[in-house]
Amino acid sequence: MKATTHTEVYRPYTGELRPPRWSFVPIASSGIRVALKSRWPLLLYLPAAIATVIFGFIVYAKFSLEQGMTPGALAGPNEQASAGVVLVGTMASKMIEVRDMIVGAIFALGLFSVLLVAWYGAGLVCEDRRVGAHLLYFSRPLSLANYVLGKLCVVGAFVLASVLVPALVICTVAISSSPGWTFLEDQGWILLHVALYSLVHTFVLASLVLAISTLASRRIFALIGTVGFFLFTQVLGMLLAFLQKDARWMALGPLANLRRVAATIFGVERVAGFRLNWDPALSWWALAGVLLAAWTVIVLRVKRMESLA
Amino acid sequence: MPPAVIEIHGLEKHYGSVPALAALDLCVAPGPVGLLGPNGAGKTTLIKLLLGLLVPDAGSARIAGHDPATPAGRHALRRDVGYMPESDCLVPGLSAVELVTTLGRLSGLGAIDALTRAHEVLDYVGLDESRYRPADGYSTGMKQRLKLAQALVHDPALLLLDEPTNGLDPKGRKHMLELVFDLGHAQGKNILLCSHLLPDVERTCSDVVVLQKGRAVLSGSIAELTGAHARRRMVELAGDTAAFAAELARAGLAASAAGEHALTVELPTGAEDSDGLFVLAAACGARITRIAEERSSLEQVFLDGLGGPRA
Repeated sequence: MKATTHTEVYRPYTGELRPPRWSFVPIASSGIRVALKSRWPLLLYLPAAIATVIFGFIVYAKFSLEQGMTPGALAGPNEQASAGVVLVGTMASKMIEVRDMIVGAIFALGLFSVLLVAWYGAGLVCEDRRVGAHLLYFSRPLSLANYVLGKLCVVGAFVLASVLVPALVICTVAISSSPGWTFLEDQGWILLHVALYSLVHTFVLASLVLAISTLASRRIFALIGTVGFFLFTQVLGMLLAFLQKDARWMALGPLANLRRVAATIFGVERVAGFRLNWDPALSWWALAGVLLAAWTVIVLRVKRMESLA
Repeated sequence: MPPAVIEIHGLEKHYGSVPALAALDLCVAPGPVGLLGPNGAGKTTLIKLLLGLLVPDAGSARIAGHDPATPAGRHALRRDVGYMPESDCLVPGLSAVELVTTLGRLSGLGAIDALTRAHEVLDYVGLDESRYRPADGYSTGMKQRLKLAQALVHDPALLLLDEPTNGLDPKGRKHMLELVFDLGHAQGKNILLCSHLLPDVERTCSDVVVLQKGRAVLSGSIAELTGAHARRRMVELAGDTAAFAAELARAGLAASAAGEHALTVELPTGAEDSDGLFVLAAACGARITRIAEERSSLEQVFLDGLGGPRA
């Protein structure tokens, strides 16, 4: 027996249809909702969470030590934890700046960002085209720009979370641990740098995965293509830089360029384990070139998708 | 006469050197109209051109008063038109409610209205609790109903339905045709029903357009088209059939053999009854044993339009 609400009678809509100004919002929200239905991929955030805790604790230790607390006192009564905390306290005393911690976290999470962007962004356009869902979108008053923006927001949200959240957590720890919130007064600009870098990072990665998605016929191909593109360019850049003894070859890889740009934005000269000895302008230009190519592909392919829908 | 819902003048579309539409001229009347044609006739191409999803090589069209060739016209017509594509085309991972709500919002409904409206149209098409499941796992019938629901969510005045009964079992097909009939006749929707299934069109539409090789070879009211041969009579007789045929010829009536002792006779315009046939039969010594009106089916009209063999 059907519930009484199931009238099965057609009811005309008596309201008014308003031209949607932000048509990308429904596309973005439905895309994020679909992505969140699968819980396992959220495990990709685990490294970000671990890195956030470690770097956050180092920041906390740094400010605590500056206020006169000894590494032993920092560890508390737990003897097993003491050794680790003393080590962290020693590191914190050497790592002077909070921005070093943020850049360290960004560098450490670079590869996971690529995995995230590949997982959440690879199927966004190619799956629409494969199943014909673009017919439903483009038979509505939806512009190409809003369609692409909606898709960009979906993948952007996941990538942004992987960069912005750890950095903001580290900043929050720094603000709350610094005596009299002096961190906010003295180095508040770091928050702006965090926002700026997060946007650059997100925009570059999201644009690239969308471009690859428009070119691929299936999600799996786009996923492999995305991971392959980042790894290949990174390894090639490192290899050529090593063989040619010229660090500028590193600018072949978007990931290396993003790291170089991060170091520039935050004013960090050295990061342990990473080479940064090439002109940052080269990285900016390389990223601009990659973005130009990506958006040319996106516009051409999506326009073709609409006209051949 | 009410204004045409769709007006097409000299519309042309080629795929490479293959013409999909060849200088098509057409006026589609309000109400439910069937768009018939064999595979490759240009039906789906026409629908995509009307929606502005394809760019024509020549000619113009107006649909629901809008010009699909201009961005503003496309934008406006897509708000006034509901499109049910032929292919599955459902967004992977979304449930029926989520999909219809999202598409409703894209059509200009507010968030709350879109959700309310999604439930209303899903009720209407008969998708019950399954509306909360991802649509990927739906049966063909459920997918077709969901596609109809998304086309209806913004309550458009014109529906473009591309093969709505494709792949449905008899029960699902009956339900779909009932929905289309209700929308066209009880709800006053203008419908362009694209199909190659003649009984579907005959059952749900009042008018029909037959396309062949990109041209409209026949269009008009189904009642008029099938009634064009209403003056035909199937005559069965006892006696000399050939002599009766000769007698008919002398009287200026067209006749053709319809069996060993049967003829199909076309009565002259203005003839009120078949009494004259009895007189002619008596004149040649034959006796009419049965006489019946022969009304063409849409299938016959379709075949006539395509220049194919008679049924």
